[in-house]
Order: sequence, then structure tokens, then C-alpha cells
Amino acid sequence: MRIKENHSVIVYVDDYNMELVKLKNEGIITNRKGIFLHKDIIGKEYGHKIYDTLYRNYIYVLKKSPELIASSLKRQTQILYEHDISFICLLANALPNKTIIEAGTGTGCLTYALASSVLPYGTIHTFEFNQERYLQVKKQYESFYNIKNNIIFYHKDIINYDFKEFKEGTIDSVVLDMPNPWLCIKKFHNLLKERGIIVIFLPCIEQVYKIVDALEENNFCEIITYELINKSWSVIQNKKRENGKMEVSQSVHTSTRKNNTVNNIVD
Amino acid sequence: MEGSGEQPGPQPQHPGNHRIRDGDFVVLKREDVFKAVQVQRRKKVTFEKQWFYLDNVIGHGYGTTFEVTSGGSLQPKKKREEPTAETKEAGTDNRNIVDDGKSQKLTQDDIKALKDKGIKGEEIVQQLIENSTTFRDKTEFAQDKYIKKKKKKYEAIITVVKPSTRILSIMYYAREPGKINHMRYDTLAQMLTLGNIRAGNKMIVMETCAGLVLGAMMERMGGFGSIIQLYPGGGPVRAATACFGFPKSFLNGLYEFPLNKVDSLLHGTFSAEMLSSEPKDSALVEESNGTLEEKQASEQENEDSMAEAPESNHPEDQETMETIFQDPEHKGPKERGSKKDYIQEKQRRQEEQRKRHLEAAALLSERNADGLIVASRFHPTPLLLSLLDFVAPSRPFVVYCQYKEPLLECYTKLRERGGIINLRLSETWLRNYQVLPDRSHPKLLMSGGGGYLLSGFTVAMDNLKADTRLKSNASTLESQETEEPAAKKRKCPESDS
Repeated sequence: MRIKENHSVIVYVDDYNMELVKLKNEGIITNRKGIFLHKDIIGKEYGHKIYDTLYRNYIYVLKKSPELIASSLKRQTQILYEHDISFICLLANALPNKTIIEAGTGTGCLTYALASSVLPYGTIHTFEFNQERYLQVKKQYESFYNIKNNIIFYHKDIINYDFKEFKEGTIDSVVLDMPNPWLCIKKFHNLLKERGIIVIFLPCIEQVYKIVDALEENNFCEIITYELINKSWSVIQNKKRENGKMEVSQSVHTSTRKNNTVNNIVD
Repeated sequence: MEGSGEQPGPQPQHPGNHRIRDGDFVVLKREDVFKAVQVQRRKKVTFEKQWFYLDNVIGHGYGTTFEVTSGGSLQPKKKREEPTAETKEAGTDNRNIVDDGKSQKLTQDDIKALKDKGIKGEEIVQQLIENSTTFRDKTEFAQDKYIKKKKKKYEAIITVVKPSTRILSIMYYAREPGKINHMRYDTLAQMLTLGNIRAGNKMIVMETCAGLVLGAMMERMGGFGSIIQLYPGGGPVRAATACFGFPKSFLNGLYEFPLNKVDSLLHGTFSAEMLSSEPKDSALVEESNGTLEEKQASEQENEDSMAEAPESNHPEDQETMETIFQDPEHKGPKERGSKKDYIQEKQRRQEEQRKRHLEAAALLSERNADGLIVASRFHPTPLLLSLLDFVAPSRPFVVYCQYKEPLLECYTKLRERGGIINLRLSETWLRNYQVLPDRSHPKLLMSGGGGYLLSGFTVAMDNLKADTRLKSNASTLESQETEEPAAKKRKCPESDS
């Protein structure tokens, strides 16, 4: 599959430097490895080396995936990481042809993962009350041809939204990543199908107390609270030569992230 | 509302989406304990030290709760309103409470008599409370805890839920972690997203997790796309896959291929003749109701092994499971009544299986798979080094291993091989919380025992001859330097000072 103009690709410089780039004929990428021309990328295959204008260094051009999108958007403020996104997708039953409501859109990382999971005919209704972020993500996703038809963006505050055009009992899951989700729990009870699921991500334990109370008051059942911590390991090769053998030792760089996810089901 | 296109097209539904039918696969739930069973009339099911028939479940929706009554029948139970908070008599602390085992006035026999009389669990709990000398002195929290404990023992409330990756992976991790190489469900969640498992992909999987990983992948793909499962030995184990209750159409995109023929496929020496010498039937047999597993076999396994049998990962057990799967085939003659028919049937199945293997071989040979998932008890390195050749460039792969050390070796060997970027070794720790007013605290920290993941992306393999465009030796060295992981120069951005 050849890369075309107007497609969005992942430009891989190294493991910690990845960028989401929308390709234009006249476009240029500048990074620590040099200057790269978009038109050197257009027409090539994914996973191949792309050389800079001086043929000194290269980068790789990669196909989008939830993990790469999350890595390339990391520079923007967000507290949801890849492992949180994965766990949320599992808990929320994000599966083909499901209808899922998400709030807020934020950087769109979770939106991307959810949208990938509900292909081919599912829909993610994603709400963002900040206009700048809403416009930015919406524009970015214009060139995500695989999933753009599965996402509907709303520039609305979900707490005040009346959901008039949504029929009762049509939503499979609701995923919330917002500061005060307890304010909009009530309306989801009717919107959700029987046995529908709400997954809420919260960074603070006080918020967890509040949301569990709100859920119980609104007749949700099977409420479970999880904390997820990610540990990344670095593999460092020790160039100790003993009889010509290389020894490998490893050290730990723990990157801990907390994720308080409350998962519960509508009765 | 800003739409971006027409509304969804055809929506393939899972059978039994709304009402449970005879033959559906369900999961029984009692508190935090799960068990996967298939609904069959007049078939005794054991769960949590009780036995009953599932007949009354038919026609109800998922999420209905039942109570086990005498005679093994399930009666739907309406959600009871919580008793209004009357001012219950309670103590302030436990300083005067002596645990001498004599505070309950009812004896074992008394309780048994109550049970035999057919008195409901609720009543029994009430009796126990009234006959406890210390109940009134307990604190409110202690009373709550006491009531919960007694209810758990005497009130048999069972909920029937729909199988899903979430539920089945939690079930397997709790009941039979050995069968799934101690893969915890959050680790499985990572694999599904890291591997970008989604509808329309062509995935390769090699797993020895009773088919749970395969089932999770199939659920995520919704029957769209294709999966080629590579298996060791005589046939793939798919006990867990059956529990999902996938519709028959999902089987169209599911292929299997023996691991021991992979080398020949890679070297171009594979031929159709190699397959005709397969002695055993594949464990996969299509039944008339379109399920993946023979009913008898899966129940046998579910009932016996799910409950009390200790887990074991020895190859002998592997074979035992395969033998169980083949039992219904031996039952064939009894049903069909003629040995000749049975042999013909067996030959037909073998021929079909051979055809499927050839199709799988053709799919693999295209070397354009969208991803690779490995989760087995075998050492991952040799598996990866050969299977990665079937994957297209710029595609993810994920390797699960119960232990970290084999993945370290794998990491090194992959670096040597080249054609891999973004290698990451990770694990996740999971902790669940009890959230109750004034009583919130973490319950259980699950760490280390959930397995490890090595993931990365494929890129086009290096062909140094083709790099003649490189300007000088100096830049060649530099490019080789950039090939290596930034591990040496890497400053982990999240590490504390």
C-alpha cells in the first residue's frame, strides 16, 4: 500500500521521538536528523527508510496505530497513557459495531483507540467543551481515512447536553475522562442499553469516592475500582567480553502511572 | 450535531444478544466468582458447591439474577430493596467482644434443619443474626461485614452474564491461571491494543493459553479479517475460545497451521504432500450448531477442571485435553450407527482440514500479515525469529511471557536480526479497591504475577548493498548508530532524579 498525499503518517525518528504528520506535496519536516521532504515519503511503502536531503540520516515512516498515536501526541498535556487506554478498551467492551459515548476528547488518543475497536460500522460520539482542542482534533482526524467515518465530534459540554437526538437504550458504553463526571451520570442510565457499561478514569481518590456514590444512587451495579500501574523495563546491553560472549544485564527504570478506573454496569 | 457520513450499515448481531436461548454460552457469576457453561436443558451444572439446572434461564436476558431452590431449579430473583436505615443497635468498638466460638446459639444441625425445611437463605441469615449474642455489640461496619459473610454462605444468588473478553479473562486468571501462563487480564488488554487488533486485519497468533488469546482477538475483530493460528503438536487447544459463543460465521476467517511446517514454508520447501501424513484429527470440529467446540468436551473440561482440579502445564495435560476434544468423534459411530459412515465422515473432515491448512499456508506465504501475537509456554525467541518473516513492514508484534528473562534474550536477538524498532519491555501492576463510606482501601496488589510483554514494530529489513547511496563511511557508521536502540543514550523521561 503506497503512501498518498493528504494521508497522516507517523514519522519515527527514534523510540522517544515520533511525530504525526499530514503529508503535503510541498511539506518539509525538520528534526534532529535533518531535513526531510514530504514528497520523498509520498509514493513509498510504510516501514521503509526515508533519507534526509543530504542522504546522511534516515527516519522511518510508519502506519498509524493506537500506540504510536499516543506516543506522538505525548508532548501535549494528558494523563491517559497507553496502558490506561488499553485497559479502558477492555473494560468498556469496545468491540466492532458498538456505539460509545466519550467525554472529553482531549488529545484524541483514547478516541483513536476506541474508534479502531468499533470498526467497521460502530460510532464514537466524542464530546469536548474546549473549542481549540475540539477544532484541533477534528481537523487532525480529517485525514484519518480509516476511522473518520466512525467518529462524530461534538463541541459541547456533556454535563449540560440534552441528548435529545439519542434514543433511549441505544448506547453500548460510556467512557468518561473529565474532572467531575458525577454531574452527568444520571442521564446515562436511560441512554445506555441494558447491561451497558460506564468506565470512568480519575486521577484522584477523592473523585473516586464521589463517583461511586453517584453511581450507586443512580442504580448502577457491579461497580469495581482498579488502579493500574505501568512498569517499563530498559534493556541495557553490557559489553562485557568473556570468551567472546556478550552479556546482557538489565536495569529497571520504573515509570509508574496511576489510573483509577471505575467500571460499572447499568442494571 | 456534526455528522460525517451515513449511518452504520449492516450490524451482525451475536446470537442471544437479548434473550438467552438453549445452546447459548453464558457465564455464571456469584459475587466475584465466574464459571463458563453452555445452556442445555436437563443438564446438571455445579457451581460454588451447588448444583442446578439451567432450564429456567432460557428466555431471560443477561444480567438476570436467580436463586437456587430445592430440586436444583433456578428462580429469578428480583432486586431486593435495601432495608431502610432504621437505627440499628450497634456497639462502638470491639473491646468487650470475646471470640470464643460460642456466640452463635444455633448449631450446625439447627441450620441444616432450617435448610431442609426449605427456608430461604434470607430467613436463615435473619435467624443467625437473632441467635448471635454478640451481634448487637458489634460496630455497624462489623455488622455489615457479618451480614455479608452470612449472605454469601447461605443466600445463593447467581447472575447469568454474557461472555466477553473481560469476564472470561478474569475468570481464567482466578480459576486456572496455569492454563493461560498466568496472563492477567490487564496484560491481555495491553496485548490487544499494542497489537492493534481490529476488524479487517490479517493476524498471526501462536498461543498456548487454552485459546483465550485467540478468543479475545476474534472478539475484537468481530469476524472481519482473518486469523491464522499456529499450533504445536497435533492441534490447537481452544477450550476458552468456545466459551465466547461466537457465531459460526466467525470461523470463516479462522485458519490453523502446524508450527512444525513453518520452517519448510519459510524456505520454500513446503508442499501439499506434507500435510496428508497428519495422524490426528484437528481439535477443531464444526458442530451443527456452529460452535467451535464439542459440547461434551467443553463441559467436561469446564465442570471438572474449572472447579477443583489443580492447574498444570505439563505436555501430558495438553495431550489429555486434545484427547478429550476427540471424544465426540468417537461418539460418532454410536450416533450414526455405522462404522463405514464414521470412517467416511472422518476422511471428509481430514480432507477439509488439509484444504484449510493449504489455504493458511497460502495466506502466510504472502508475508503481509498485519500483526503477530505470541503467548505461549515455549521460549519466545525461536518463535519470533521465524514468525516475524510473515509480517509486513510497519506492523506491530507483541510477545507475552510469564517470565522476564526469556524476553531479555529475545530483545537482544531481535536487535541482532534487525528490522525491528520501538522495542519495549513492560509489565503492568493491578490493584483493586474497596470503596465504601469510611471504609475505602486497596484490596489486593497484583504485581509480577501477571506476566511481561515485549512489543515492537517491524520495518523493512536492512539490505546494506542497497544503501550505496550513503555518502561516506562516516555516515554509514552514524546510520548504524541510529539503528541501535536509544537505550544507551536513553534518558528515561519519567525517571525521578
